[in-house]
Amino acid sequence: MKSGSNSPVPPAEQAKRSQRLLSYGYSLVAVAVLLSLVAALALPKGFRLSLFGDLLEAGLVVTFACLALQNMLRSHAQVRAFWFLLFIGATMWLASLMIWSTHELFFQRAVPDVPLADIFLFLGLVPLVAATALEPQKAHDSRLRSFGLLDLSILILYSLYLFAFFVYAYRLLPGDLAIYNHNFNVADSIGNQLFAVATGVAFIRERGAWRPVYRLFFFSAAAHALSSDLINVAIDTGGYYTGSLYDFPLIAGMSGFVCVCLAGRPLLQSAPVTEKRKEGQQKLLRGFAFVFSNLAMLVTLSTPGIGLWLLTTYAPHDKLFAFRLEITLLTIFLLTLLLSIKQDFLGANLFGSLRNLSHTYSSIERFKDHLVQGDKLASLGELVANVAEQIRTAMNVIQEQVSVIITRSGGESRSQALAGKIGQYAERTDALVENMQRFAQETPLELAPVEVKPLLESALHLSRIDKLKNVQVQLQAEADCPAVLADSSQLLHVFLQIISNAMDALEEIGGGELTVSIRSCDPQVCIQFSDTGPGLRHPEHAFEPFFTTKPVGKGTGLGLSTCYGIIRQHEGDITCGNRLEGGAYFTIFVPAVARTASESGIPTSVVSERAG
Amino acid sequence: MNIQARHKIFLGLAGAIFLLHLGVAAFAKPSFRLTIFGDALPCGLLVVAILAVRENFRFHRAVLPLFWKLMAAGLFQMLLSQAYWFYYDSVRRYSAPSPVIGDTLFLLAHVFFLSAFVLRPHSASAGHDMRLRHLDFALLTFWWLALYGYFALPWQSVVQDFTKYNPTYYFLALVQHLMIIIGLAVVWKRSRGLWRTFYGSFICLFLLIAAANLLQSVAIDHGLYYSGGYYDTPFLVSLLLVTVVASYGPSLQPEEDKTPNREINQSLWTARIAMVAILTLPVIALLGSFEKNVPEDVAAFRLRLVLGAMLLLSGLVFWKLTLLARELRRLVRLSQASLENLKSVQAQVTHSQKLAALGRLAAGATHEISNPLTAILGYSELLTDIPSLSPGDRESAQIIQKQVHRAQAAVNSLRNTLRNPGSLHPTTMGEREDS
Repeated sequence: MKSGSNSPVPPAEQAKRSQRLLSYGYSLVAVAVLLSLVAALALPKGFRLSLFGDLLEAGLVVTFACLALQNMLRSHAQVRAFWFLLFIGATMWLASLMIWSTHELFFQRAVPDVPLADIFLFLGLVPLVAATALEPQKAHDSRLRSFGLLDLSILILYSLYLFAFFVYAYRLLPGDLAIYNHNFNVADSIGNQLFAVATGVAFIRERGAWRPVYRLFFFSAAAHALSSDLINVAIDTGGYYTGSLYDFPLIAGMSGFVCVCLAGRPLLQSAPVTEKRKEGQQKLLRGFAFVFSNLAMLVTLSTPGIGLWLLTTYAPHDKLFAFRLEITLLTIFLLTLLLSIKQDFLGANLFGSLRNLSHTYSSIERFKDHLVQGDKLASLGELVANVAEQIRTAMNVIQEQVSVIITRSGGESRSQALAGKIGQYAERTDALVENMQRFAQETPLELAPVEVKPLLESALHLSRIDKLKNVQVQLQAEADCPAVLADSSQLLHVFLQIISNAMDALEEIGGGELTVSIRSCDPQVCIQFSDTGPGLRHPEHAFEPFFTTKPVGKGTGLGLSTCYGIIRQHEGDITCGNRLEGGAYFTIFVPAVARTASESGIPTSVVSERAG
Repeated sequence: MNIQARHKIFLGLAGAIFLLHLGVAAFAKPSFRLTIFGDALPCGLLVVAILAVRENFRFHRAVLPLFWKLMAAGLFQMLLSQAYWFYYDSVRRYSAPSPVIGDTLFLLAHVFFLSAFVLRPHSASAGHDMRLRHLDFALLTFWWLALYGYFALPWQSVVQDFTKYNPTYYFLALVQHLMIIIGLAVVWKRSRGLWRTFYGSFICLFLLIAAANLLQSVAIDHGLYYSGGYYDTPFLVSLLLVTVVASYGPSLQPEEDKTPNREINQSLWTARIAMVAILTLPVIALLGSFEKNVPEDVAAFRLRLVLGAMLLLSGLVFWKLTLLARELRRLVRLSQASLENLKSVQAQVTHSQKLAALGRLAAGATHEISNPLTAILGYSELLTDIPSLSPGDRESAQIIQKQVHRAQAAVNSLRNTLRNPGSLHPTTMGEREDS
């Protein structure tokens, strides 16, 4: 119970440690059981034995509750629900035991008659049975999972009602405790048998890692059922006293529950298993799931039925009748109240889902608007390709003429120099246009070694961010950075998109700084854009399609998602977030061209260098 | 004949029946004939009102058809209730053996009116998600019947005691009327234009019915009431008003809600109100079990009624919860599916997005290309300025200049198009190709 440290321990050693802890626990439990046996045989009936017996039982139940609580805190989802239910059950038993012991030890009664203790003892079974029915080791369909805290409250309330109706009501009859005791024994016995059967079924059904847990659970439940029947009989015949041999199965059962918690410890983080089932089984299971998830509803429906049955013996002046009628009406009220709360939750949930759905639909609407423009954009593509072709033809003609002039003007340096200049510019123009043309063409990813820095420079140039007055751009390139394996036009598109985002962000606050750094993060190259703008409002959504924080008409919310798609196509990665100093950062990782010689890439974490 | 004209005819008919009533009430003495006449009048007015309302079924604007159908259903129940009295008073010629059927129908009619108004006929977005609303409506109806069954019915069916039945019945009717009137007053205050008149008329209508009911009960208590007299006038005026309101039907236009999600909130609240209503039943029964002066039979009847009603209502709630859960699962699946859909079409959008980026790129490129072109032009002019240039070179330089102009023209056309994307469509492409 003290291995809560987070220090990194190898899994093998951890398993060994938990194994050791488990064996300590088992031996401790064994000692307790032996002690009780010795005490029962050695000590005479009396206060000392009672004290010992009560303390031992209380100790075991407290351990059970504590271990269940600890297991609950360390686990998640279904498994957590399982331990939570066990904890609730243990707490109720503890309450019952405390009340019983107080009466026995302080008021010095051999077999105290405390209905409150009986009620807790009886109610404790409800969460335990519910825990067994939960089957935390399996991946359930959504129907089963909808069983919640409200349903549990309804079931507990209903058990309380049944107890009051069939058992407690007889305490109201003057001087007749016999019926009460008898009915309590029957009710308790039925509850215990049910619990034992439930755990037994769970044990038989489970074939995986949880089998040992269920085996212990079943044995404990069976021992508990046996002990409570035994004790009840012993009380009736007058042979019972606390600490006697009759308590031995009870102690064994309680120890068993402690062992259940210990055995369950290695399984706290286990993921639920989806199991394949046969057709017939599937149907049966669906029926079971329906009954289980609607159990709360079905029991609620039964209360007016019980009331109507009660009315067939209408006797308004009978105390028993009046009491039963009143508790029935009260229970109907409370159960209906709980159901209303459940309905309200469901309704609110539905409301939320509807809102989500309408959000998605409005996204689709926006998307449609966008597609209408698609035609226009397609003709723009044609136009660009056309213009590019014309310019390139012109440049080719010019270059031809330049070479003609250069070859013809034998030695005349001035015309040769001028022609040379013309040729240079024509070549530059041609390269620029070629880039644009390639972009306009619908080509599959053409992976080739690309130098990042020149591409980035041309992206900065094309975006004309350097023409903005209040925006400073810094480009920091690590020397000796490898080329990346990428489609240059696609990568250019990504750069342009991110730069344009940064421009928008900086313009929004009237200027700032954009820092672009290129580093080698072997085996990738990392390109980081960080601005001093207002930052991303929802960085976690930035790459989702249709997500935009820009006013309607300005952003389509598609740009970054496209970037994400492109980078993923390159088998790279793109992340974004907000810097501690303010402003947003986008980091792109693209696979580097494998370097044969110099292996100098020092892996540096992105986060630590964000400040630079 | 158009609708307006038909509404005018119904108005005329209703007016005529009403004037007839005024005339007869002024001159006739209480007699058997007057009773027959007095019982027949509301039936006639109700028939006219139902026919007038029926004309409005055809206007498919938001929930209006449903609204008018519910109104017609309510009016029809009132007609049945009146016909019941008419049958015993006039045909069988003795007082009805029990007022229960007539009274139940009368109360139920108002449940229909109430639910018609809860639909919010003035809202354009009303009427979504009707399935669960039907259930809520059923819950409230059964609840109301259970209240009637609890408070009033036993004084008729278990013990014949009119001194207890009548006040209870009239009190229940009054509560119902007040509920409708308060609800209407709230919508009336929020509405404008014709809708204000519409709701205002309904307020008058129900005030009159409530007043008529009270007047009737007081008059019966004092032995003054007789069928066909002026005691009937308020009730008849209210029935006349129904025909008047129905004539607004053709010109009613639902409006958009000012607050978003109004409709969903409304259905959430309807559900809550229905659940609170159900919760009152066991409380009433619990409180009732402490009541001392109730005959044993009545108490037993009441308990059976409450428990039976709870069984029925819990069953309905169960059904509703199942529907809600199923709906929730369906919605979750639906939103998952639509999300998948979105992802699959994203590929298409990536394409058009790329073209959008191309637009930006092209805009940058035109700028970038202009500079070297200007430079080429400048150098080629310098070239031609050289006096000793050979004719061949001069010609080459001229060719270069011509090509630069050509390229510039192309760049300019692209720039113009990008500046004014509205002009961009495939037909203009051919023209530009020649320039």
